[in-house]
Amino acid sequence: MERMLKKQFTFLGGAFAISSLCWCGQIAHAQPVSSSRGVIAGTVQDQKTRELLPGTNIMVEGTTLGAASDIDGRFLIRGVPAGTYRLQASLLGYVSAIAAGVKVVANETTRVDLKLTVSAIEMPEVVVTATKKAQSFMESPVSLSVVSARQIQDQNQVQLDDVLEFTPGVNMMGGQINIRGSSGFSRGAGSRVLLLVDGVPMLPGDSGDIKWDALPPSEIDHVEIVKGASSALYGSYAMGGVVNVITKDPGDRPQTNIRATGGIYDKPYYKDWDWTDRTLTYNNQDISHSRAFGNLKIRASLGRRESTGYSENGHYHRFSGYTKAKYIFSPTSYLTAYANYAHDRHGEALTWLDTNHPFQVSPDATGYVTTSSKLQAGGTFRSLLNSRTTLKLRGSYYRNTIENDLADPRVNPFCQQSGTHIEVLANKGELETQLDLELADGHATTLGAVGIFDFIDATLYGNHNSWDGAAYLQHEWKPNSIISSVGSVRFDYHWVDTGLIEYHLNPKFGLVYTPTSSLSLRASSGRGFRAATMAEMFTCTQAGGFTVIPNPNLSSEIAWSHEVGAQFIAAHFLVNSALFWNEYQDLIEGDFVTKRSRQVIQFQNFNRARIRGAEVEINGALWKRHLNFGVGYTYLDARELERRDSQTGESRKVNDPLAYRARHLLTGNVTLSLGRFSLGADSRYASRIEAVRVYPNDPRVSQKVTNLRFGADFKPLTLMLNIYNVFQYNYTQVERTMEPIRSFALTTALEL
Amino acid sequence: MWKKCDTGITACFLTFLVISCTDHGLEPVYEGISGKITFIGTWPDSTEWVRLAVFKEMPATVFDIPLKPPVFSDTLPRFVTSTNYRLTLSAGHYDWVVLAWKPKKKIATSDFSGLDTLGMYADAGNPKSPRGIDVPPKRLLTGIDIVADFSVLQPPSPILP
Repeated sequence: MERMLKKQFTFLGGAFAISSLCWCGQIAHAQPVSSSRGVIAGTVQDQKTRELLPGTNIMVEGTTLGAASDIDGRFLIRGVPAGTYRLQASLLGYVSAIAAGVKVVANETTRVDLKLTVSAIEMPEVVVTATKKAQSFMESPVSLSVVSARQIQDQNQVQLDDVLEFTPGVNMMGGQINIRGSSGFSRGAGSRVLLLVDGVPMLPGDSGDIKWDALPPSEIDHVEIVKGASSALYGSYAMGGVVNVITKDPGDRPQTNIRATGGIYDKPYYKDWDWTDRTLTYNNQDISHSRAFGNLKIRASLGRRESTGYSENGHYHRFSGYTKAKYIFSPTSYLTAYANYAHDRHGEALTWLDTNHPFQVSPDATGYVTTSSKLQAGGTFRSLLNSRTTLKLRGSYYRNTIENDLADPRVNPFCQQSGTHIEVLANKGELETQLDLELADGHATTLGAVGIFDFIDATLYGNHNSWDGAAYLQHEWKPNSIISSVGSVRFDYHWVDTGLIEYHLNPKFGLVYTPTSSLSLRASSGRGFRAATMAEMFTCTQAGGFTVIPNPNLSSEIAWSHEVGAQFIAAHFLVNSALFWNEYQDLIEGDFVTKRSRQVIQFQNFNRARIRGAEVEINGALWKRHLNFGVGYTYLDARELERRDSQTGESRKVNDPLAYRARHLLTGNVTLSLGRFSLGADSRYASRIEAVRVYPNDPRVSQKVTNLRFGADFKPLTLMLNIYNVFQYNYTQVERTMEPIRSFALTTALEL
Repeated sequence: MWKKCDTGITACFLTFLVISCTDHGLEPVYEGISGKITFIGTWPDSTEWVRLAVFKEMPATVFDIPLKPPVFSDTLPRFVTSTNYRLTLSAGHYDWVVLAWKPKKKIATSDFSGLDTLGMYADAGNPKSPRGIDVPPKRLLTGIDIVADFSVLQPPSPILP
């Protein structure tokens, strides 16, 4: 049966890939616009000094057409199909600009003179996640943080989640990402943040959590983080926010990058905690190559990561292969496709031995190992159908497997499972069609439809499948240059093979007021939801002394997000601030319930909660941008307001701290660059978690982590020294799991 | 104004770094006892070492000691006026916490022979009256202070009140 299903899915995956490519090819070569083309010509100049600016990149949005301004600040883009376009202009040291409503007439030249505002600081470029289309960072109707390519490279972390921890408002909790306290911690069963890779959803079909080890960090260009409910465009999971990982594009020139890191863990700060005489180390190697073959551009990489771990059973060995291709059918249509495979074998340390041996596990648990693999494939086809319509087709497939022997050998009386072996196979596929329409000047509409299937076959969950269908509509109205509004609504249909059917209608509204090019005020309000994952509905197991039982009637949780914010550029600073208020209903949590006179864990729609707070993020540059810094502070008031009794189903009013949320989050980074050399530090602070679920009496402390970094750039060779957790701060994020101690890493990178 | 802001942010960041480097977060949770030992009088030049010895039950005679031996601490600093100590013990009741002194040239045939009593955890006002302790599970019992008076060093060995 399983083999048959595997074959079916392999066949379906292949058929999907072939039919998608054929379809894309047919659309791409049936362009109605190729016979009537015009030219866009103009200049780029400094808004204040009127000085003409050479080297500015100008792109025609929705196409592959573009140009760079010449030494006199002039540019010329030929072969543009007649229609109305938006131009994006970006230049280092200036705020990126978008010119909307550029009309191109056949056989004529349209003149556009662009004016850029100088910026004394490093500004995020054009962003694409908040409204599913490109827009200026200053015009985003919701709070959005960008982790730049420089920050990712400087921090030199093994996994992306270690980088995101230093983003304002983001807090990791045992590997689960919290945006403004959205997720809490549920041992990997369900994420309230949606992960996208180049705009394509990338969450597995079983647990719906983010597999950070599956993302090759060397291939990430930058990351956009949307804060607050975004289900009006992105559906389930996006109730707390969206993380969009933008990967590096394959280039025109052949380029090879080699990167190797060797690291060593320090001894624990307290001698009594020293648990081994071995030297604990880690090492990473990455190699990538990019080149173009005519209209086809390809980028491929291989990565390997190995570590002894800093604690007993903390070892891992990972391998990944990744490729991204871009095929340009015509100047107005192209296909971007990718495939990623990651294999991981790691030790399992479910809980420490005791408080005096926090880096050791119980002798019974020594040798616990989990093996997993993730295969992700997908792509986006993009075509300008006519002068006012852009078509985007997205497809993705995610298959993941997990295997270990962590279950207790006793028979689980709730589902008659026995044996220690755990095996999971999960498949998820998604297809999406999106149309961007420029209906009239100042009016832009986006509409789309999505289909999703999940199929799982697991000893933990049994065999189950689910289907989702959705349709969405967004309209953006910009009556003048200082006001823009956006409204969106998405309808979702969710079906599970147990007979569970749910419908959701998620609206969202946003308003942006930009009285000057350096100030924008925004307000937004929207609804989000998250359907229960297969793991939350069907897990039935015994492990680590706990029994988990299924709940097939688990329904979706919902959220309402409201926000007002402001961002402005002042002297050497970019300041972004927000007040937010999120209401959650029917939150899904795993907690102890009594069944057949036994204490077991079950996921239920337990509670109503409210998370409100304030956030401020300041990024700046001093001393002619030799010194760059960023500071972020988030205040969270996360309260559980109602709790449902698992036996009677009745709700009672409470006013308790919501578990696994820190009240204060503070992040800071500073980088001093002098010629070829750079010196920097990244710090983060999270106040002591006020409430936890499993071991409330265990000692807990706040989190105070500082990393130091030194870099030397001798192109094509770059050397880096990183010291992580430099002050040897000992802390846990979730109970009985110690976070990494101090380590030193030396990295060599070569660009050929 | 913005220059002041620059300075303020830099100062905050540096303060955060300084505070961070003095705090190491979670600490080992010791099950045992800790306290201060105050030495009175002149240290004999013949002092080889001083250790704490903790007895579950008060030995009735010297012959009971090998049957129910004490838990010894590491050697404590010599020729000081006071020292803080910490000793790991299993949770439970202990009858006698005593400071053992060993002179040079005395051969200790076992952990407890050839030792003299220098002081003990005692009832208030009566330094010769042993005071029992109860070590709680997974906690450090603090304040087990001892006054060691060289003028009342009690030979002969082995250690007994």
